Amino acid sequence: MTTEPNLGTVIDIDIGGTFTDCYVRRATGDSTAVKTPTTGFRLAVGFRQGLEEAAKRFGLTTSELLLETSTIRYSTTVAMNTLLQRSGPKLCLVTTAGFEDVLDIARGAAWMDAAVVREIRNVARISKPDPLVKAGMILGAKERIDSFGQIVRPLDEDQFLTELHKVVDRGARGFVISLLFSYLNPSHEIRIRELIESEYPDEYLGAMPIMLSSEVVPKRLEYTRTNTCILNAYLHQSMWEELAGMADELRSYGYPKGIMLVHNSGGMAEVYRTSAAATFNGGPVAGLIGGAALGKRRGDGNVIVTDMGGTSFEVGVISDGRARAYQFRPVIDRYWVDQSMLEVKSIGAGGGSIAWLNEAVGNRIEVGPRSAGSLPGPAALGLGGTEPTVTDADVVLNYISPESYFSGKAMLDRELAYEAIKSRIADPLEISVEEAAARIKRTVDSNMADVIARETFLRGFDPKDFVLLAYGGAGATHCVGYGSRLGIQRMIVCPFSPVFCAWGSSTMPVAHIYELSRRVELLAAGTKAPTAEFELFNSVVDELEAQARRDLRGEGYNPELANLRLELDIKYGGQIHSHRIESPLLRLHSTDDVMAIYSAFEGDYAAFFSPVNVFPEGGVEVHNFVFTASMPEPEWELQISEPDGTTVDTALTGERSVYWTEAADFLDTPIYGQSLLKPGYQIIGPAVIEAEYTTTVLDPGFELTVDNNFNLIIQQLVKEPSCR
Amino acid sequence: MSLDQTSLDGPEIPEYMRVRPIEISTATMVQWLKPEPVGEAERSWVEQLEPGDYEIYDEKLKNILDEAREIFVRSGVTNLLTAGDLIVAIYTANGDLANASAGTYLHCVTGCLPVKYVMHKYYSDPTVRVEAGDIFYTNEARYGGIHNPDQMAFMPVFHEGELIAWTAALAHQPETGAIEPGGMPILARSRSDEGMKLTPIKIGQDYRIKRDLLDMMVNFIDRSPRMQEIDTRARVTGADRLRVRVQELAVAKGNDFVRGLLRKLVLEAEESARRRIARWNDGTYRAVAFADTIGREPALVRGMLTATKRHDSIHMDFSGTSPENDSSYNAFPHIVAAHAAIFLFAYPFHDLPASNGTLAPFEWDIPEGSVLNAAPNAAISNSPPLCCIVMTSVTLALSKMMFDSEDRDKIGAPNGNMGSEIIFSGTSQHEMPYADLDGCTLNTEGQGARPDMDGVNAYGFPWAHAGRAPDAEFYEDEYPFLRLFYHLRRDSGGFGKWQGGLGTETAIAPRHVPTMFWSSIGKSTHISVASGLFGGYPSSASPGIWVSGTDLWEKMNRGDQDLPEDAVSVAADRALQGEYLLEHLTRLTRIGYSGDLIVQLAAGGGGYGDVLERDPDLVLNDLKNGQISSWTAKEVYQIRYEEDSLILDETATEETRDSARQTRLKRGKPWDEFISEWSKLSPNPEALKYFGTWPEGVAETPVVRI
Repeated sequence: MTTEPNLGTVIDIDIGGTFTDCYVRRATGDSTAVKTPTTGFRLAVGFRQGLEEAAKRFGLTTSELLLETSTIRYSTTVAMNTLLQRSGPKLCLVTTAGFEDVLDIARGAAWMDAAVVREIRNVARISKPDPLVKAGMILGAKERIDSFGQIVRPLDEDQFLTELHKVVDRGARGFVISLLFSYLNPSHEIRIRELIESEYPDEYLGAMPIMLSSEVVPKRLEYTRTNTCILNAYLHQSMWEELAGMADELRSYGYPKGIMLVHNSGGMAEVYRTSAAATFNGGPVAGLIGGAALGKRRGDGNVIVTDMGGTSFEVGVISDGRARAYQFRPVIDRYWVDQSMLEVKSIGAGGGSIAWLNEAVGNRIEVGPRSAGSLPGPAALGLGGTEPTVTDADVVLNYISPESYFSGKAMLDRELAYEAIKSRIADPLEISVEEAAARIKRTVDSNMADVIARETFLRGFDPKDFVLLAYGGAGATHCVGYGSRLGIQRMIVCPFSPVFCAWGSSTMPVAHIYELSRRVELLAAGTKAPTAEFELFNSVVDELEAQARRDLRGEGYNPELANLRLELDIKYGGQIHSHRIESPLLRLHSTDDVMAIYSAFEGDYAAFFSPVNVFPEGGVEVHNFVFTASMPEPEWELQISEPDGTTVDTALTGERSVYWTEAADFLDTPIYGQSLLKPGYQIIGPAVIEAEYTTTVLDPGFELTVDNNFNLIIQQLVKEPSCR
Repeated sequence: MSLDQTSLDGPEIPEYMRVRPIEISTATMVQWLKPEPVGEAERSWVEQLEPGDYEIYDEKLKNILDEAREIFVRSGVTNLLTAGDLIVAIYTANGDLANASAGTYLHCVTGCLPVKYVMHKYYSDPTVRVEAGDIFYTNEARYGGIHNPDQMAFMPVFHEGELIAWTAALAHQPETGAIEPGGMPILARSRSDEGMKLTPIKIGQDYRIKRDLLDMMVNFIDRSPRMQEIDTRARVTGADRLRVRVQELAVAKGNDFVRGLLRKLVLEAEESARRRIARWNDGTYRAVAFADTIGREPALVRGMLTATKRHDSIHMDFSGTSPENDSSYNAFPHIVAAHAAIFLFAYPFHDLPASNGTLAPFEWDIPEGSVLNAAPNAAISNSPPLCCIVMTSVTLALSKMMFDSEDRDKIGAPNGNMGSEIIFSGTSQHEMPYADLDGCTLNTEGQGARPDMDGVNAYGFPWAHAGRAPDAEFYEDEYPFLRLFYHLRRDSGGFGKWQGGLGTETAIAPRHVPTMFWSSIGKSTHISVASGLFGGYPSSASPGIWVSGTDLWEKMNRGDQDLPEDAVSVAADRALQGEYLLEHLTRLTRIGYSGDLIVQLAAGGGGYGDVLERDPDLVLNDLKNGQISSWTAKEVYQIRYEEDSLILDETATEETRDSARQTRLKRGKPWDEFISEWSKLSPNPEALKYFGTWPEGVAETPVVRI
């Protein structure tokens, strides 16, 4: 549905846990969206199936489609799959002697990382993440650098080499070197790499990755720095193998170019400029960026993007046209890392989320976080599932038609859904199956609304000031349910919502992000005097900018065209946690510049926390510099059309009895085909709009209009109409 | 106009806001743990909730609580926020805890008592009153707290002129202006030595903190004024964020809805807890635990619990516990209940609301004059370290109670329960005054073993479970010392069929500055408080080590190979020059000079079951991973293996274990004979100085406090 003049065909792929989404846009402006099952055993298979289906829709062969293709952008779950299977190489971790247990100690309660509250509270059953580097493969190097970067103890090279031989004998196939305070002084890490390379050159054992924490993430705090570095080393090989397989596949069809990989920082880059950890959660981040792009084009700067899929519900917040919030505790699998990953919050609420009765607290209905997944899936799918899911409730309430679900490719059995809800929920509670289904929907909608509220409030915003963008397989079915609870005035379902994350990557720029920890006292404690150490601040920025320019130039881009952005992690003196802001200036030249940065920090901090918390008297410290260099965003256009004088009745495909909470009953409800909707059409709820992969549910009291880009705009009617 | 302090009649209190009158004393505050009676109006609000409202809006409250906790944690200073020693909570209008996001469940008890006190004492008092925009504050154990480092901000929630709820944010702060730095003065002998103690007072009106009162607090805490200033603001911010959200809920759903929802949570919590208790076997379950310090000197202190379970309630009788003493290691009954809550909310009731309703089935019987029910003028700032005896005895007694039930997966041996920390203060390398504690050992104790698996190594902070230990780089960047090592502690977990998780060990040396003040808190130096369960061993004993006047910097600079890398090598190899002192882990404040070495240990968890039943492969695996020594493998677990390859000799292991069992049988004797011999034994009299009479534990002399 988008056009990009003067360019060839563009293919965007998003490999998710259940489906591989493919969005193809040709130079002619034609586009198509295809969903195929993800093939976990080899992701390239699902990728190829998607391409074949897309090509077929254009009347082309896969080769013909690829020959006219200029760009392939790709967000992948390879990293996650490798982690799930724990199939990475045997690594050796080099730490400062005396700190070899950094992964086991794991900041104490690492069992909380990636756990939900219910799991965290159950202390009797906790477990910590299993370290990716095993005992016996961790080598303590006798050396020490202090918090000012001074060498306190020189590196004992003889001891290191003796221990090195032992770990290689135990089968080390890669090295991660993470020494204390290496971000201030990397000399020992660099020397250790030299020692490994001289002792074990490539021709001896083959190429083994050697990763230095001071190069991968030169930032303060050794646990997360080490984890990030280990993950990159652990995933490095499998990602290369998977992408090589994909490139081979593409080459066999005649596509000679490279693949751009989507990064969780909000940009993308060539494969060889991509660390494995940067690809984690790339798909949802692409959706976030797509939401920002779509919102900007529509004039909506504040957008809440929501993705309700089969197993999870994800929320991201766009303010003033930008995704600004990074994850505060970024966790990959169960490992807390130090990586600037854009925040997309996920909870276990999707179509496959299981509804259950919590006997511990009076048999109340709960939904999730357990999911029936794709196998056995919802009971209605008939693949052996007996526990009721959100999709089963939607089927019982007739929001989803068993016959047209997923274009009829996956027939649903309403009786199975009915029986699952009856036996597990309705009978124990002595209520009707319909009421039970309605309460399941109400519960999951409320849970999603709550997480949206929390994520928005935590950034200092009010959801009422946002429009809501709904996508994912179940987003359109439930968006009125969760959006209306927040008082959101407008909800948008776009025509490519089933593959929105794939589409989102078509709006992403090439971007690189560089981070470095340096302590700069912005305002002095007590006196609040602005710093005069401009040179220290500027030298850090100089270093990061030079690196960015070098990398962009190396990839064939003109760095002069790059958009440069500096973000700073700042805290009041003594605080544990810093708060990230976008710096209004790249460099300091005067105390006014210092105060400009402080003012930006104070304003953001006060909005985020409270004006009560502002305390410059305690001193103000910069701890991390985050520098982003991004090339201009790709040009894209949405398909546009004007009202043609036809009426919405032409899109009417039938009528069925659908349950509406307001009426507490089933009502005859009109059914529309989304592909038949045209700009200017207006529908008053209750109604159901069916598309190839999604069903939009329009409750009574809401109206839907189709805009010139075929987006469905849902708004609450001013007057509450009675149900038909 | 002259001064007039005669009492005036305040507004009449509606029934739903009333608090049961009790005699206010340190011995009786625990009575307010019972939920308030439900009046007619409140009952009707509960009944008016529509089907589904309870689950949906309880979930909403949880999200609100999570939001407020996040704001609180991220805006504060104290390391205890990272350790999780905090709570944000929502209460009914009369102070019952509806739900909370709790880093530590201690404060599920301590929070509601000050709220009830304010409603009981001040709501109708025209000199105080409770009005929209008020900010209350307290850190006084006499009024429901645990000890004065725990400071709490709490705010009434009004909507349309009606009080509908209370909100609170509480966190521990390691400085109180006491006679020693760190907030938990070891030398305190009476409450007068313990620093700032604020009864529940109004520190703000019209949503503003009063500057004069904030200055007063900062003045009290002048070892760390910045921490007081920022963290007071952070607490108020956390409580206010909750207030705003609850108020929004009232706007959307009405006051009756909010009041009904909050009461429903308390009622449901109690009913659910009673249902669960009812499925355990009736009976009497006993447990005993020992602490080996009263802070300023090593001493044996006993905690004894007889838990009698009948139908859906449990009577907790602590008779036999040692008498109170003139140290700061004393407690009050509500503090005991709070320490029981640490186990109850994380194990048997982990899936129930963090509400005082959940604790309603418990009756507390704690003898006056015991160390757990001390006189009101007692120093209690170290009540948490003392109450390790409560944590252990409650864990043991209730685990036995639940063993033969469908809740066996909710039991475990005691966690480390040590609370090991170095406390430091002075002027930092950044020329800022500081007073803080080392969260590295505090948050990395071992978890007790479970019925089907080992305890987790370095699992967290037993008082708050989910304690986060900051990185070594964080501390060294902020404070003037260098950490020499930070390890898991070999052999520290209690042995058993399932092994207790390991604790950690660390050593720090002052650097960048000539001196720093330091002290430390810990226990289990002479006898471990982390007992085993069902035959499991207790965790290992944990001494403190101090080496003063070392040549550490010279040796590091030279690149000497023999620098110690763990606690055993510090003490055994003595590669550093200097004066060595092996001492109790609780140490009084002293000056540390650049290069002195302070070694601190964190406890492992208790073991579970018979060591001879541990899978030999697991033993070998622990040996390979360095988690146990070869001595332990051979002498405790009785396995045999090939020394170089570490391959198990199955036959020899079986024979050795059979032989060990035979030896046990030979040691066996009839019950009466055993009791007769056992009763003649007595600890070294020196250890019994604060124990009370042996073996009864009855006070021998009255405690005099000045």
